[in-house]
Amino acid sequence: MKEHHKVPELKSKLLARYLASECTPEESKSVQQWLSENEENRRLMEDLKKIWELSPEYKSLDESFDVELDWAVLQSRIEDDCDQLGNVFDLRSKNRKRKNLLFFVRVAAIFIIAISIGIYANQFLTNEELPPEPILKSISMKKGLRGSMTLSDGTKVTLNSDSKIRIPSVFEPDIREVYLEGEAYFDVAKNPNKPFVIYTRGAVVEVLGTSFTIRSFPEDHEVRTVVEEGVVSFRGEDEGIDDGVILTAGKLGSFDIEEKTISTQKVSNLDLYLSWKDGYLKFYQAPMAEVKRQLERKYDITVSFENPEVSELQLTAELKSRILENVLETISMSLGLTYKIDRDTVRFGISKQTQ
Amino acid sequence: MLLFAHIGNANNKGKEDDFLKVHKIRSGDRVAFEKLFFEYHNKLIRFANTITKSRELARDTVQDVFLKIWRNREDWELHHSLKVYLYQAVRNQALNLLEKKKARLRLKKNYQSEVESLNRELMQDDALYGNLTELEIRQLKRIWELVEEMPERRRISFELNRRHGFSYEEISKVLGISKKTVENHIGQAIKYIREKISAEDFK
Repeated sequence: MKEHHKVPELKSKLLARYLASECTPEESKSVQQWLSENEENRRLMEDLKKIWELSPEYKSLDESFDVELDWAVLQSRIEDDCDQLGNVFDLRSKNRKRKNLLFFVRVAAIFIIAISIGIYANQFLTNEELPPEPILKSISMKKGLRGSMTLSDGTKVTLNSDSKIRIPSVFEPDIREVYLEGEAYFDVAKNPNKPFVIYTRGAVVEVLGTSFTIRSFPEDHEVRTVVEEGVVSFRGEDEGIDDGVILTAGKLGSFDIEEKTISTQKVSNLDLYLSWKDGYLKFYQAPMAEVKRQLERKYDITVSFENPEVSELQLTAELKSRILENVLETISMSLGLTYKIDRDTVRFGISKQTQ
Repeated sequence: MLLFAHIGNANNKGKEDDFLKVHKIRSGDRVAFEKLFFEYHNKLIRFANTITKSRELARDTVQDVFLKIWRNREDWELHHSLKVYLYQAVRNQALNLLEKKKARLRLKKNYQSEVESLNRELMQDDALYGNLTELEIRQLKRIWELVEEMPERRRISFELNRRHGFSYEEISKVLGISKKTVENHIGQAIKYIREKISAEDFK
Protein backbone atom coordinates (compact mmCIF):
# COMPACT_ATOMS: atom_id res chain seq x y z
CA MET A 1 0.00 0.00 0.00
CA LYS A 2 2.59 2.52 -1.08
CA GLU A 3 0.42 5.19 -2.50
CA HIS A 4 -3.18 5.71 -1.72
CA HIS A 5 -5.77 5.68 -4.37
CA LYS A 6 -8.97 7.24 -3.22
CA VAL A 7 -11.79 4.80 -2.75
CA PRO A 8 -14.56 5.96 -5.05
CA GLU A 9 -17.42 7.29 -2.94
CA LEU A 10 -20.16 5.08 -4.34
CA LYS A 11 -17.98 2.02 -4.60
CA SER A 12 -17.08 1.87 -0.91
CA LYS A 13 -20.62 0.86 0.06
CA LEU A 14 -20.77 -1.82 -2.58
CA LEU A 15 -17.29 -3.15 -1.83
CA ALA A 16 -18.05 -3.31 1.87
CA ARG A 17 -21.23 -5.21 1.14
CA TYR A 18 -19.26 -7.51 -1.13
CA LEU A 19 -16.82 -8.23 1.68
CA ALA A 20 -19.68 -8.70 4.13
CA SER A 21 -21.40 -11.17 1.77
CA GLU A 22 -24.41 -8.90 1.66
CA CYS A 23 -24.43 -8.57 -2.12
CA THR A 24 -27.01 -9.88 -4.54
CA PRO A 25 -25.57 -12.23 -7.18
CA GLU A 26 -25.79 -9.44 -9.76
CA GLU A 27 -23.89 -7.08 -7.52
CA SER A 28 -21.21 -9.68 -6.89
CA LYS A 29 -20.83 -10.09 -10.60
CA SER A 30 -20.46 -6.37 -11.09
CA VAL A 31 -17.79 -6.23 -8.37
CA GLN A 32 -15.87 -9.02 -10.04
CA GLN A 33 -16.22 -7.22 -13.34
CA TRP A 34 -14.85 -4.05 -11.72
CA LEU A 35 -11.95 -5.97 -10.21
CA SER A 36 -10.91 -7.37 -13.57
CA GLU A 37 -10.89 -3.89 -15.11
CA ASN A 38 -7.46 -2.89 -13.89
CA GLU A 39 -4.65 -3.60 -11.48
CA GLU A 40 -5.43 -0.50 -9.43
CA ASN A 41 -8.89 -1.74 -8.55
CA ARG A 42 -7.51 -5.12 -7.70
CA ARG A 43 -4.93 -3.61 -5.35
CA LEU A 44 -7.52 -1.41 -3.71
CA MET A 45 -9.66 -4.43 -3.05
CA GLU A 46 -6.67 -6.24 -1.57
CA ASP A 47 -6.17 -3.42 0.93
CA LEU A 48 -9.81 -3.41 1.91
CA LYS A 49 -9.83 -7.15 2.22
CA LYS A 50 -6.79 -7.06 4.45
CA ILE A 51 -8.48 -4.55 6.77
CA TRP A 52 -11.70 -6.51 6.62
CA GLU A 53 -10.14 -9.83 7.50
CA LEU A 54 -7.80 -8.53 10.13
CA SER A 55 -10.37 -6.49 12.02
CA PRO A 56 -12.26 -9.31 13.79
CA GLU A 57 -9.06 -10.68 15.35
CA TYR A 58 -9.44 -10.19 19.03
CA LYS A 59 -9.27 -13.73 20.19
CA SER A 60 -8.07 -14.31 23.67
CA LEU A 61 -9.84 -11.33 25.15
CA ASP A 62 -12.60 -13.73 26.08
CA GLU A 63 -10.38 -15.25 28.69
CA SER A 64 -9.93 -11.98 30.46
CA PHE A 65 -13.57 -11.95 31.52
CA ASP A 66 -14.50 -14.29 34.31
CA VAL A 67 -17.88 -15.66 33.30
CA GLU A 68 -18.17 -17.98 36.26
CA LEU A 69 -17.59 -15.14 38.66
CA ASP A 70 -20.06 -12.90 36.88
CA TRP A 71 -22.65 -15.66 36.91
CA ALA A 72 -22.15 -16.08 40.66
CA VAL A 73 -22.57 -12.35 41.14
CA LEU A 74 -25.76 -12.38 39.11
CA GLN A 75 -27.06 -15.32 41.12
CA SER A 76 -26.56 -13.48 44.36
CA ARG A 77 -28.22 -10.39 42.95
CA ILE A 78 -31.20 -12.51 41.95
CA GLU A 79 -31.32 -14.04 45.40
CA ASP A 80 -31.18 -10.60 47.01
CA ASP A 81 -34.12 -9.74 44.86
CA CYS A 82 -36.07 -12.69 46.16
CA ASP A 83 -35.17 -11.95 49.76
CA GLN A 84 -36.54 -8.49 49.37
CA LEU A 85 -39.74 -9.90 48.01
CA GLY A 86 -39.79 -12.35 50.88
CA ASN A 87 -39.94 -15.53 48.90
CA VAL A 88 -36.65 -17.15 48.19
CA PHE A 89 -38.17 -20.09 46.44
CA ASP A 90 -40.30 -18.01 44.23
CA LEU A 91 -38.27 -19.21 41.26
CA ARG A 92 -38.85 -22.83 41.88
CA SER A 93 -42.37 -22.96 43.11
CA LYS A 94 -43.73 -21.17 40.08
CA ASN A 95 -41.84 -23.48 37.87
CA ARG A 96 -43.21 -26.43 39.66
CA LYS A 97 -46.84 -25.37 39.47
CA ARG A 98 -46.58 -25.07 35.76
CA LYS A 99 -44.87 -28.40 35.47
CA ASN A 100 -47.61 -30.08 37.43
CA LEU A 101 -50.19 -28.79 35.02
CA LEU A 102 -48.23 -29.68 31.95
CA PHE A 103 -47.18 -33.08 33.02
CA PHE A 104 -50.19 -34.50 34.72
CA VAL A 105 -49.72 -37.41 32.37
CA ARG A 106 -46.51 -38.13 34.12
CA VAL A 107 -48.24 -38.10 37.48
CA ALA A 108 -50.64 -40.70 36.21
CA ALA A 109 -47.74 -42.80 35.11
CA ILE A 110 -46.13 -42.52 38.51
CA PHE A 111 -49.35 -43.76 40.06
CA ILE A 112 -49.21 -46.84 37.98
CA ILE A 113 -45.63 -47.40 38.98
CA ALA A 114 -46.48 -46.75 42.61
CA ILE A 115 -49.14 -49.43 42.50
CA SER A 116 -46.82 -51.93 40.95
CA ILE A 117 -44.29 -51.05 43.58
CA GLY A 118 -46.73 -51.95 46.28
CA ILE A 119 -46.78 -55.42 44.84
CA TYR A 120 -43.10 -55.34 44.22
CA ALA A 121 -42.10 -54.02 47.58
CA ASN A 122 -43.98 -56.83 49.28
CA GLN A 123 -41.81 -59.36 47.56
CA PHE A 124 -38.75 -57.58 48.77
CA LEU A 125 -39.76 -57.06 52.35
CA THR A 126 -37.45 -59.77 53.54
CA ASN A 127 -35.72 -60.05 56.87
CA GLU A 128 -32.06 -59.39 56.51
CA GLU A 129 -30.91 -59.12 60.09
CA LEU A 130 -31.86 -61.04 63.17
CA PRO A 131 -33.28 -59.73 66.47
CA PRO A 132 -32.60 -58.28 69.01
CA GLU A 133 -31.70 -55.49 66.60
CA PRO A 134 -34.78 -53.95 65.04
CA ILE A 135 -35.68 -55.92 61.96
CA LEU A 136 -34.61 -54.18 58.78
CA LYS A 137 -36.89 -54.45 55.82
CA SER A 138 -35.27 -54.02 52.52
CA ILE A 139 -36.97 -52.38 49.57
CA SER A 140 -35.34 -52.35 46.17
CA MET A 141 -36.10 -51.00 42.77
CA LYS A 142 -34.92 -52.97 39.79
CA LYS A 143 -33.51 -51.22 36.75
CA GLY A 144 -36.28 -49.58 34.77
CA LEU A 145 -38.40 -49.02 37.86
CA ARG A 146 -38.73 -46.14 40.23
CA GLY A 147 -41.08 -45.77 43.12
CA SER A 148 -42.27 -43.76 46.07
CA MET A 149 -43.36 -44.88 49.51
CA THR A 150 -44.36 -43.27 52.75
CA LEU A 151 -42.65 -44.52 55.89
CA SER A 152 -44.38 -44.99 59.23
CA ASP A 153 -43.26 -41.55 60.43
CA GLY A 154 -44.73 -39.82 57.41
CA THR A 155 -41.42 -39.39 55.56
CA LYS A 156 -41.73 -39.80 51.82
CA VAL A 157 -39.01 -41.64 49.97
CA THR A 158 -38.62 -41.90 46.21
CA LEU A 159 -36.25 -44.65 45.25
CA ASN A 160 -34.50 -44.52 41.91
CA SER A 161 -33.92 -47.48 39.62
CA ASP A 162 -31.29 -49.97 40.71
CA SER A 163 -31.42 -48.69 44.28
CA LYS A 164 -32.16 -50.21 47.63
CA ILE A 165 -33.13 -48.93 51.03
CA ARG A 166 -33.29 -50.75 54.36
CA ILE A 167 -35.68 -49.50 56.98
CA PRO A 168 -36.35 -50.83 60.51
CA SER A 169 -39.81 -52.31 60.93
CA VAL A 170 -40.28 -49.83 63.76
CA PHE A 171 -38.13 -46.76 64.28
CA GLU A 172 -36.21 -46.39 67.55
CA PRO A 173 -37.81 -43.99 70.01
CA ASP A 174 -35.04 -41.39 69.66
CA ILE A 175 -33.75 -41.79 66.12
CA ARG A 176 -34.91 -42.71 62.64
CA GLU A 177 -32.15 -44.64 60.88
CA VAL A 178 -32.18 -46.00 57.33
CA TYR A 179 -29.53 -47.50 55.04
CA LEU A 180 -29.27 -46.58 51.42
CA GLU A 181 -27.60 -48.04 48.35
CA GLY A 182 -28.05 -46.12 45.14
CA GLU A 183 -30.12 -42.99 44.83
CA ALA A 184 -33.12 -41.73 46.74
CA TYR A 185 -35.03 -38.55 47.36
CA PHE A 186 -36.30 -37.87 50.86
CA ASP A 187 -39.02 -35.57 52.05
CA VAL A 188 -38.52 -36.03 55.76
CA ALA A 189 -41.42 -35.54 58.16
CA LYS A 190 -40.52 -32.90 60.73
CA ASN A 191 -39.65 -34.22 64.15
CA PRO A 192 -37.01 -32.26 66.04
CA ASN A 193 -36.80 -34.89 68.78
CA LYS A 194 -36.15 -37.74 66.43
CA PRO A 195 -33.45 -37.05 63.87
CA PHE A 196 -33.63 -38.86 60.56
CA VAL A 197 -30.28 -40.43 59.68
CA ILE A 198 -29.22 -42.07 56.44
CA TYR A 199 -26.14 -44.26 56.26
CA THR A 200 -24.59 -44.90 52.89
CA ARG A 201 -21.16 -46.21 52.02
CA GLY A 202 -19.36 -44.59 54.89
CA ALA A 203 -21.26 -41.32 54.80
CA VAL A 204 -23.92 -40.15 57.20
CA VAL A 205 -26.64 -37.70 56.38
CA GLU A 206 -28.63 -36.40 59.29
CA VAL A 207 -31.73 -34.25 59.14
CA LEU A 208 -34.55 -32.95 61.21
CA GLY A 209 -37.11 -32.28 58.52
CA THR A 210 -36.35 -31.31 54.99
CA SER A 211 -36.18 -32.58 51.45
CA PHE A 212 -33.05 -33.62 49.64
CA THR A 213 -31.60 -36.24 47.36
CA ILE A 214 -28.71 -38.63 47.93
CA ARG A 215 -26.77 -40.47 45.28
CA SER A 216 -24.42 -43.28 46.15
CA PHE A 217 -24.24 -45.82 43.33
CA PRO A 218 -21.54 -48.49 43.52
CA GLU A 219 -19.59 -47.05 40.58
CA ASP A 220 -19.56 -43.53 42.02
CA HIS A 221 -16.42 -42.36 43.74
CA GLU A 222 -18.44 -40.15 45.98
CA VAL A 223 -21.66 -39.96 47.92
CA ARG A 224 -23.55 -36.91 46.82
CA THR A 225 -26.27 -35.07 48.70
CA VAL A 226 -28.21 -32.16 47.31
CA VAL A 227 -30.62 -30.28 49.55
CA GLU A 228 -33.83 -28.91 48.16
CA GLU A 229 -35.24 -27.39 51.32
CA GLY A 230 -34.16 -27.10 54.92
CA VAL A 231 -30.87 -28.09 56.52
CA VAL A 232 -28.93 -31.35 56.49
CA SER A 233 -25.83 -32.45 58.36
CA PHE A 234 -23.43 -34.49 56.25
CA ARG A 235 -20.38 -36.35 57.58
CA GLY A 236 -18.21 -39.43 57.36
CA GLU A 237 -19.23 -42.40 59.49
CA ASP A 238 -16.19 -42.12 61.70
CA GLU A 239 -16.71 -38.50 62.52
CA GLY A 240 -18.73 -36.94 65.29
CA ILE A 241 -21.77 -34.91 64.41
CA ASP A 242 -19.87 -31.70 65.03
CA ASP A 243 -17.32 -32.60 62.37
CA GLY A 244 -19.84 -32.79 59.59
CA VAL A 245 -20.75 -30.03 57.23
CA ILE A 246 -24.10 -28.30 57.25
CA LEU A 247 -25.83 -28.25 53.91
CA THR A 248 -28.53 -25.68 53.37
CA ALA A 249 -31.02 -25.45 50.54
CA GLY A 250 -29.36 -25.39 47.16
CA LYS A 251 -26.11 -26.85 48.44
CA LEU A 252 -24.40 -29.99 47.26
CA GLY A 253 -22.13 -32.01 49.51
CA SER A 254 -19.89 -34.74 48.17
CA PHE A 255 -18.18 -37.29 50.35
CA ASP A 256 -15.11 -38.78 48.69
CA ILE A 257 -15.21 -42.47 49.48
CA GLU A 258 -11.44 -42.97 49.17
CA GLU A 259 -10.25 -39.84 50.90
CA LYS A 260 -13.14 -39.67 53.37
CA THR A 261 -13.33 -35.95 52.83
CA ILE A 262 -16.33 -33.77 52.22
CA SER A 263 -16.56 -30.82 49.91
CA THR A 264 -19.52 -28.57 49.30
CA GLN A 265 -20.66 -26.35 46.50
CA LYS A 266 -23.63 -24.24 45.60
CA VAL A 267 -25.97 -25.72 43.03
CA SER A 268 -27.45 -23.21 40.67
CA ASN A 269 -29.71 -25.74 39.10
CA LEU A 270 -31.36 -28.14 41.51
CA ASP A 271 -33.36 -29.76 38.76
CA LEU A 272 -30.26 -31.43 37.42
CA TYR A 273 -30.11 -33.48 40.60
CA LEU A 274 -33.81 -33.87 41.26
CA SER A 275 -35.23 -34.49 37.78
CA TRP A 276 -34.86 -38.26 38.14
CA LYS A 277 -37.56 -38.42 40.81
CA ASP A 278 -40.02 -36.86 38.40
CA GLY A 279 -39.15 -39.48 35.86
CA TYR A 280 -36.89 -37.72 33.44
CA LEU A 281 -33.20 -37.30 32.82
CA LYS A 282 -31.55 -33.96 32.70
CA PHE A 283 -27.93 -33.37 31.81
CA TYR A 284 -25.66 -30.39 31.78
CA GLN A 285 -22.39 -31.01 30.00
CA ALA A 286 -22.46 -34.59 31.21
CA PRO A 287 -19.96 -37.00 29.63
CA MET A 288 -21.62 -39.75 27.60
CA ALA A 289 -20.10 -42.32 29.95
CA GLU A 290 -22.36 -40.91 32.67
CA VAL A 291 -25.34 -40.64 30.31
CA LYS A 292 -24.82 -44.31 29.45
CA ARG A 293 -25.03 -45.34 33.12
CA GLN A 294 -28.19 -43.36 33.68
CA LEU A 295 -29.87 -44.73 30.57
CA GLU A 296 -28.99 -48.28 31.53
CA ARG A 297 -30.50 -47.76 34.93
CA LYS A 298 -33.64 -46.00 33.86
CA TYR A 299 -34.52 -48.20 30.90
CA ASP A 300 -32.87 -51.44 31.98
CA ILE A 301 -30.83 -51.68 28.80
CA THR A 302 -27.18 -52.09 27.92
CA VAL A 303 -25.55 -49.16 26.16
CA SER A 304 -22.34 -49.43 24.19
CA PHE A 305 -20.29 -47.11 21.99
CA GLU A 306 -18.98 -48.12 18.57
CA ASN A 307 -16.30 -45.47 18.72
CA PRO A 308 -14.48 -44.93 21.99
CA GLU A 309 -14.49 -41.15 21.52
CA VAL A 310 -18.27 -41.15 21.96
CA SER A 311 -17.83 -41.62 25.70
CA GLU A 312 -15.94 -38.33 25.76
CA LEU A 313 -18.76 -36.27 24.21
CA GLN A 314 -20.73 -34.03 26.52
CA LEU A 315 -24.48 -33.85 26.54
CA THR A 316 -26.67 -31.01 27.66
CA ALA A 317 -30.27 -32.06 27.38
CA GLU A 318 -33.58 -32.44 29.07
CA LEU A 319 -35.01 -35.82 28.13
CA LYS A 320 -38.64 -35.64 29.03
CA SER A 321 -39.97 -38.36 26.83
CA ARG A 322 -40.78 -41.68 28.47
CA ILE A 323 -40.22 -43.46 25.19
CA LEU A 324 -36.71 -44.79 24.80
CA GLU A 325 -36.61 -44.18 21.04
CA ASN A 326 -37.44 -40.50 21.51
CA VAL A 327 -34.70 -40.13 24.06
CA LEU A 328 -32.14 -41.88 21.86
CA GLU A 329 -33.22 -39.76 18.90
CA THR A 330 -32.72 -36.57 20.87
CA ILE A 331 -29.29 -37.57 22.11
CA SER A 332 -28.18 -38.68 18.66
CA MET A 333 -29.41 -35.51 17.04
CA SER A 334 -27.72 -33.19 19.45
CA LEU A 335 -24.37 -34.95 19.37
CA GLY A 336 -24.34 -36.04 15.74
CA LEU A 337 -24.58 -39.72 16.57
CA THR A 338 -26.39 -42.72 15.17
CA TYR A 339 -27.96 -45.42 17.27
CA LYS A 340 -29.05 -49.01 16.78
CA ILE A 341 -31.39 -50.96 19.02
CA ASP A 342 -30.95 -54.69 19.20
CA ARG A 343 -33.31 -56.11 21.83
CA ASP A 344 -31.97 -54.74 25.11
CA THR A 345 -28.81 -53.29 23.67
CA VAL A 346 -28.29 -49.84 22.27
CA ARG A 347 -25.20 -48.98 20.27
CA PHE A 348 -24.21 -45.38 19.63
CA GLY A 349 -21.88 -44.57 16.77
CA ILE A 350 -20.61 -41.40 15.19
CA SER A 351 -22.80 -40.28 12.33
CA LYS A 352 -21.01 -40.46 8.95
CA GLN A 353 -22.21 -36.96 8.07
CA THR A 354 -20.46 -35.41 10.99
CA GLN A 355 -17.18 -37.20 10.41
CA MET B 1 -44.35 -34.54 24.14
CA LEU B 2 -41.92 -31.79 24.83
CA LEU B 3 -38.53 -32.70 23.52
CA PHE B 4 -35.55 -30.51 23.86
CA ALA B 5 -31.84 -30.94 23.59
CA HIS B 6 -28.82 -29.17 22.33
CA ILE B 7 -25.07 -29.27 22.56
CA GLY B 8 -23.44 -26.98 25.05
CA ASN B 9 -21.75 -24.56 22.77
CA ALA B 10 -23.43 -24.87 19.42
CA ASN B 11 -24.49 -21.38 18.54
CA ASN B 12 -26.01 -21.48 15.11
CA LYS B 13 -29.55 -21.93 16.19
CA GLY B 14 -32.55 -20.54 14.49
CA LYS B 15 -35.42 -18.39 15.53
CA GLU B 16 -37.54 -21.27 16.74
CA ASP B 17 -34.82 -22.13 19.14
CA ASP B 18 -34.73 -18.54 20.33
CA PHE B 19 -38.43 -18.58 21.03
CA LEU B 20 -38.12 -21.87 22.83
CA LYS B 21 -35.41 -20.41 25.04
CA VAL B 22 -37.48 -17.35 25.80
CA HIS B 23 -40.48 -19.52 26.51
CA LYS B 24 -38.48 -21.57 29.00
CA ILE B 25 -37.06 -18.54 30.73
CA ARG B 26 -40.52 -16.96 30.87
CA SER B 27 -41.77 -19.97 32.75
CA GLY B 28 -38.91 -19.71 35.22
CA ASP B 29 -36.43 -22.22 33.85
CA ARG B 30 -33.16 -21.29 35.51
CA VAL B 31 -31.05 -23.67 33.44
CA ALA B 32 -32.22 -22.04 30.26
CA PHE B 33 -31.38 -18.69 31.81
CA GLU B 34 -27.94 -19.89 32.86
CA LYS B 35 -27.26 -21.21 29.38
CA LEU B 36 -28.25 -17.92 27.87
CA PHE B 37 -25.92 -16.09 30.23
CA PHE B 38 -22.94 -18.30 29.40
CA GLU B 39 -23.65 -18.20 25.70
CA TYR B 40 -23.68 -14.42 25.41
CA HIS B 41 -21.80 -13.05 28.39
CA ASN B 42 -18.37 -12.46 26.86
CA LYS B 43 -19.64 -11.17 23.56
CA LEU B 44 -21.97 -8.74 25.29
CA ILE B 45 -19.27 -7.45 27.61
CA ARG B 46 -17.03 -6.80 24.68
CA PHE B 47 -19.80 -5.00 22.91
CA ALA B 48 -20.77 -3.00 25.98
CA ASN B 49 -17.13 -2.04 26.39
CA THR B 50 -17.09 -0.31 23.03
CA ILE B 51 -19.78 2.01 24.35
CA THR B 52 -18.77 2.42 27.98
CA LYS B 53 -14.99 2.36 27.39
CA SER B 54 -14.70 0.79 30.78
CA ARG B 55 -14.58 -2.84 31.67
CA GLU B 56 -16.28 -2.34 34.97
CA LEU B 57 -19.10 -0.37 33.46
CA ALA B 58 -19.40 -2.96 30.69
CA ARG B 59 -19.68 -5.67 33.29
CA ASP B 60 -22.33 -3.78 35.19
CA THR B 61 -24.22 -3.24 31.97
CA VAL B 62 -24.39 -6.93 31.16
CA GLN B 63 -25.30 -7.78 34.74
CA ASP B 64 -28.14 -5.29 34.71
CA VAL B 65 -29.47 -6.59 31.41
CA PHE B 66 -29.62 -10.18 32.64
CA LEU B 67 -31.04 -9.18 35.99
CA LYS B 68 -33.80 -7.26 34.26
CA ILE B 69 -34.56 -10.17 32.00
CA TRP B 70 -34.96 -12.47 34.98
CA ARG B 71 -36.99 -9.99 37.00
CA ASN B 72 -39.39 -9.30 34.19
CA ARG B 73 -39.20 -12.71 32.60
CA GLU B 74 -42.92 -13.30 32.72
CA ASP B 75 -43.56 -10.37 30.42
CA TRP B 76 -40.65 -11.04 28.14
CA GLU B 77 -41.56 -10.61 24.49
CA LEU B 78 -39.23 -11.32 21.62
CA HIS B 79 -39.78 -9.45 18.40
CA HIS B 80 -36.72 -10.33 16.35
CA SER B 81 -34.03 -12.69 17.52
CA LEU B 82 -32.46 -13.17 20.90
CA LYS B 83 -29.18 -11.82 19.60
CA VAL B 84 -30.78 -8.60 18.40
CA TYR B 85 -32.74 -8.27 21.64
CA LEU B 86 -29.69 -8.69 23.84
CA TYR B 87 -27.44 -6.32 21.91
CA GLN B 88 -30.20 -3.74 21.83
CA ALA B 89 -30.73 -4.04 25.56
CA VAL B 90 -26.99 -3.85 26.21
CA ARG B 91 -26.64 -0.74 24.12
CA ASN B 92 -29.52 0.99 25.89
CA GLN B 93 -28.27 0.06 29.33
CA ALA B 94 -24.68 1.00 28.48
CA LEU B 95 -25.81 4.42 27.33
CA ASN B 96 -27.86 4.78 30.53
CA LEU B 97 -24.98 3.90 32.80
CA LEU B 98 -22.64 6.08 30.81
CA GLU B 99 -25.00 9.03 31.19
CA LYS B 100 -25.12 8.50 34.92
CA LYS B 101 -21.38 8.22 35.13
CA LYS B 102 -20.88 11.32 33.05
CA ALA B 103 -23.26 13.19 35.31
CA ARG B 104 -21.26 12.09 38.31
CA LEU B 105 -17.98 13.03 36.72
CA ARG B 106 -19.14 16.17 35.00
CA LEU B 107 -17.26 18.34 37.42
CA LYS B 108 -14.14 16.31 37.09
CA LYS B 109 -11.99 17.38 34.21
CA ASN B 110 -10.15 14.10 34.06
CA TYR B 111 -13.06 12.09 32.70
CA GLN B 112 -11.76 11.98 29.17
CA SER B 113 -8.32 10.79 30.15
CA GLU B 114 -9.77 8.14 32.41
CA VAL B 115 -11.88 6.84 29.57
CA GLU B 116 -8.92 6.68 27.26
CA SER B 117 -6.64 4.89 29.63
CA LEU B 118 -9.25 2.24 30.34
CA ASN B 119 -9.79 1.68 26.69
CA ARG B 120 -6.10 1.48 25.93
CA GLU B 121 -5.68 -1.13 28.62
CA LEU B 122 -7.71 -3.55 26.57
CA MET B 123 -5.66 -3.02 23.45
CA GLN B 124 -2.23 -2.87 25.04
CA ASP B 125 -1.68 -6.46 25.88
CA ASP B 126 0.00 -8.04 22.89
CA ALA B 127 -0.31 -11.48 24.39
CA LEU B 128 -4.01 -11.31 23.62
CA TYR B 129 -3.55 -11.46 19.92
CA GLY B 130 -2.66 -15.09 19.49
CA ASN B 131 -0.80 -15.98 16.34
CA LEU B 132 -0.71 -12.63 14.63
CA THR B 133 2.61 -11.23 13.45
CA GLU B 134 3.96 -8.07 15.00
CA LEU B 135 3.04 -6.18 11.87
CA GLU B 136 -0.49 -7.49 11.91
CA ILE B 137 -0.91 -6.56 15.55
CA ARG B 138 0.20 -3.03 14.74
CA GLN B 139 -2.24 -2.84 11.85
CA LEU B 140 -5.01 -4.28 13.92
CA LYS B 141 -4.51 -1.73 16.68
CA ARG B 142 -4.44 1.05 14.16
CA ILE B 143 -7.70 -0.16 12.61
CA TRP B 144 -9.50 -0.04 15.92
CA GLU B 145 -7.97 3.26 16.88
CA LEU B 146 -9.43 4.63 13.70
CA VAL B 147 -12.77 3.04 14.49
CA GLU B 148 -12.70 4.92 17.77
CA GLU B 149 -12.66 8.18 15.87
CA MET B 150 -15.89 7.38 14.07
CA PRO B 151 -19.36 8.56 15.05
CA GLU B 152 -21.10 6.19 17.48
CA ARG B 153 -23.46 4.43 15.06
CA ARG B 154 -20.76 3.93 12.46
CA ARG B 155 -18.41 2.57 15.05
CA ILE B 156 -21.02 0.19 16.41
CA SER B 157 -22.11 -0.93 12.95
CA PHE B 158 -18.55 -1.85 12.04
CA GLU B 159 -17.94 -3.47 15.39
CA LEU B 160 -21.11 -5.56 15.26
CA ASN B 161 -20.33 -6.77 11.78
CA ARG B 162 -16.66 -7.50 12.20
CA ARG B 163 -16.44 -8.70 15.76
CA HIS B 164 -19.88 -10.07 16.45
CA GLY B 165 -20.90 -11.46 13.08
CA PHE B 166 -24.06 -9.38 12.72
CA SER B 167 -25.71 -9.06 9.33
CA TYR B 168 -26.65 -5.60 8.08
CA GLU B 169 -30.28 -6.40 8.82
CA GLU B 170 -29.51 -7.31 12.41
CA ILE B 171 -27.42 -4.20 12.90
CA SER B 172 -30.27 -2.07 11.62
CA LYS B 173 -32.54 -3.60 14.25
CA VAL B 174 -30.09 -3.15 17.10
CA LEU B 175 -29.46 0.46 16.26
CA GLY B 176 -32.94 1.31 15.06
CA ILE B 177 -31.71 2.66 11.72
CA SER B 178 -32.48 1.55 8.18
CA LYS B 179 -30.47 -1.10 6.40
CA LYS B 180 -29.41 1.50 3.86
CA THR B 181 -27.93 3.61 6.63
CA VAL B 182 -26.03 0.59 7.91
CA GLU B 183 -24.63 0.02 4.41
CA ASN B 184 -23.60 3.60 4.37
CA HIS B 185 -21.89 3.43 7.76
CA ILE B 186 -19.91 0.32 6.98
CA GLY B 187 -18.94 1.56 3.55
CA GLN B 188 -17.76 4.82 5.08
CA ALA B 189 -15.99 2.99 7.87
CA ILE B 190 -13.86 0.83 5.64
CA LYS B 191 -13.17 3.70 3.29
CA TYR B 192 -12.06 5.83 6.22
CA ILE B 193 -9.76 3.15 7.60
CA ARG B 194 -8.24 2.46 4.23
CA GLU B 195 -7.54 6.12 3.61
CA LYS B 196 -6.28 6.95 7.08
CA ILE B 197 -4.06 3.99 7.52
CA SER B 198 -0.69 5.45 6.74
CA ALA B 199 1.97 3.87 4.62
CA GLU B 200 4.17 3.06 7.62
CA ASP B 201 1.40 0.97 9.16
CA PHE B 202 1.82 -1.44 6.32
CA LYS B 203 5.58 -1.50 6.05
